Amino acid sequence: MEKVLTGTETAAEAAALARVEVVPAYPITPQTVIVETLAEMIGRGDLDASYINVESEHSAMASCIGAAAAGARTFTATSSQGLALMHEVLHYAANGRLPIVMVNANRSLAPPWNLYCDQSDSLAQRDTGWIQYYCADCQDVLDSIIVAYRVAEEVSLPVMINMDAFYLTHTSEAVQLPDQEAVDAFIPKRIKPVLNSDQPVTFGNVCGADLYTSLRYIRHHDTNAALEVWQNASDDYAETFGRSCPSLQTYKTEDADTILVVAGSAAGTLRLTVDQLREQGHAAGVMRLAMIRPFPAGLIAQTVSTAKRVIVVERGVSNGMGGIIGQELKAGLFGSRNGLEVWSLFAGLGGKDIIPEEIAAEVKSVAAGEKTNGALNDNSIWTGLLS
Amino acid sequence: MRAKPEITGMADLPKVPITIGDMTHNRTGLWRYLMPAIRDRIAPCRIACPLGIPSPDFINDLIRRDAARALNRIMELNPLPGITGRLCYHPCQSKCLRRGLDSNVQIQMLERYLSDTAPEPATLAPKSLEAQVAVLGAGPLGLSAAYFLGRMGISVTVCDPLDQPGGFLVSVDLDKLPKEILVRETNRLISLANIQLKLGDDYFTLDSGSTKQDWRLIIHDQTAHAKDSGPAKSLTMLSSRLSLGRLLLDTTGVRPRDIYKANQIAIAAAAGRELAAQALSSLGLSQQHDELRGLINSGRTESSISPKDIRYELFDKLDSVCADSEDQTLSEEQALAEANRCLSCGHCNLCGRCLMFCPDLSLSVNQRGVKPEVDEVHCKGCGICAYECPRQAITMER
Repeated sequence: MEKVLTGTETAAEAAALARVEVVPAYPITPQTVIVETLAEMIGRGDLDASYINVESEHSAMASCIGAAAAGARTFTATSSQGLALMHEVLHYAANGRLPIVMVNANRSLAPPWNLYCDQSDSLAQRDTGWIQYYCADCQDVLDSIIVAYRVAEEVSLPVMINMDAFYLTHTSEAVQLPDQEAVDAFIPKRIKPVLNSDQPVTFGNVCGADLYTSLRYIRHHDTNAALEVWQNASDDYAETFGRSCPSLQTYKTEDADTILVVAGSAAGTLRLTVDQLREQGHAAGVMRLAMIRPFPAGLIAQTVSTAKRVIVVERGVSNGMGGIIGQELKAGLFGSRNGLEVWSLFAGLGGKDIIPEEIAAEVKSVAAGEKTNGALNDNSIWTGLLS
Repeated sequence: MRAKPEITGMADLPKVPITIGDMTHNRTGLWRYLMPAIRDRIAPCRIACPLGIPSPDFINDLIRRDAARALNRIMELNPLPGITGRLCYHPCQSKCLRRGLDSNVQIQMLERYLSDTAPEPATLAPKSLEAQVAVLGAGPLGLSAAYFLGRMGISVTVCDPLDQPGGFLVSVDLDKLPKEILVRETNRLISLANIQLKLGDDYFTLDSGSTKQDWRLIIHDQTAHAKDSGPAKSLTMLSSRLSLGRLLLDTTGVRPRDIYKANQIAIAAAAGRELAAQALSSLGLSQQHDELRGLINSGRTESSISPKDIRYELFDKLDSVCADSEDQTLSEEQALAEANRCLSCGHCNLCGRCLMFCPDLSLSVNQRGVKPEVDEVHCKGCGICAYECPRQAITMER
């Protein structure tokens, strides 16, 4: 069935198709419609789930942890300040190996107050141990949530599905909704309850450094392995539903000198930019980084193996270091492509529209050798600054 | 106690950080300097009772549907529960701490309910001691003395000019005490303590002096009949004759004021019990004496708990159902409803709150109906159980 849905409505539909059982949530712009839609579905009786009104995002995630530990398929959504407030319990969910799926609407962090698209919120949570996926469009929101439950329950790790504020949350698109039976068959519930009154255990108990180190090793190993699990799940999904959610998506990168890199919905804009650049004789391509954790370093290295430079269109900054995805890329490629130029192009902070002509101009300037390290001495290019 | 689980490799680790063994190997009890003592403290109703009946205990038996045990518990201290349950001025109720919440528990109605409906206690088979005692006068006091002596294995004969036991209660008409209840109560007492009777005609054959008796001690109940009445005079004459060459105890020393008033029945029973103890002492039966003295003194040596010891905020208000009973014996449903109003002051009633709050699972109920036991190996002595007990049944002691 095809429906015209906003990204938020799509996320709610996906959670309902996954037959989530517990939804603890606290509203925040721009995700509120997701949990409102789920509350309506549950209220109408269309979705057999418990909706928990909590007093904060911290409590929302704490409730998810309890529900998932008790064996429930759990869903929540948040954004920006809400995600930041969850920080402590994000670690708890991942260290507790609980297969929670959460949608985060990527929004800037205050102050100053700004409701618009920015990926600093979720990128700041890279090290909490969550699998992180960044959606390209509304259809990708639906597909990746369903794939996320398959992966989460297989590897016992939580998954954060990130969608750009407003560009996805509040944009209506035609979305293919799969049949419930097909989704049921794709994601049979595989959660084993951690807490079981017949066999009481303490969850999150005390242990010494020896066991702690070993447990951390196992989790790191399993998180790395989740990349292949995700790829396999995406392939299976494609077999049934005809669409996939690859961890890395490329466009005209094979012969490209310059590869534009982005996470999220701007990939489409950059494909348009690349088409324009190619018409003007520039060999450009796009690499959409869908997965940040686990980091698909191998796939990236293959993609950029013959390129001269990559320009990352950044939607988040690690202050005192540079563009966050640019840093990740450099770390991932260190030793394999040391001669590669990596530029961070700050063209999409705080909801700034990414304009193809603007991006194309910067690409041509970099290719012509006109850009230097600049005042910041970190290969960063800032557009739209006041003069 | 289980051993600390061995972890030899990564494969032993659970994916989710959960306990894979338990902590029983950790003897946290070594940290303790105070120990919870779950022992009954004295409820104000018990202190107020002339017979010292631990009402919370028999009420808890009733709540657990063990009416036989409840009645047994009363009859260890009170020989005439069906009469006290009707006539006593019930000072227990005026001290009931539930008054601080709504209104007192109708303890007397519960005693009456048990006396009227509980299964008869099994007849005690007293060890047959050679000592033989005659009680002259079958009033409540004399019957009580005979009952406690009989239960201690003494062969007792109660003598009274009337055809029926009960003394002055036989002669008066009381609305609150139907004659059939008096008969039932005295018969039960007589049967439980294996008491022999010489009443009416049998009594008068004693006067003739034709039968030899092996009595070593005579108890004369001077309160059995109204002063200067025919039976009273007859008993006085018999007493002076029989006491020749025998030990004699009379009620002068134990008789409180107004003992003839029907509402003083518990005081009369208590005086009889005291006389029985003195008789055991006079007979040189020190073991039996100590046993009865211990029973009399139990619950008398400590101060009772006070309103500040009760966690009133944990209880809901609940009206008494007894107002609807119109002076009838309560129905089972009414009795249970009333019994459930008892705060069980100072008496563990197995509410389980301490088990719920113990952070170390060091309290457990191992036997049905028996108070929680403390795991001495693991209890750290934190005192949370004592704080959380709604009724001060737990104290922290060295």
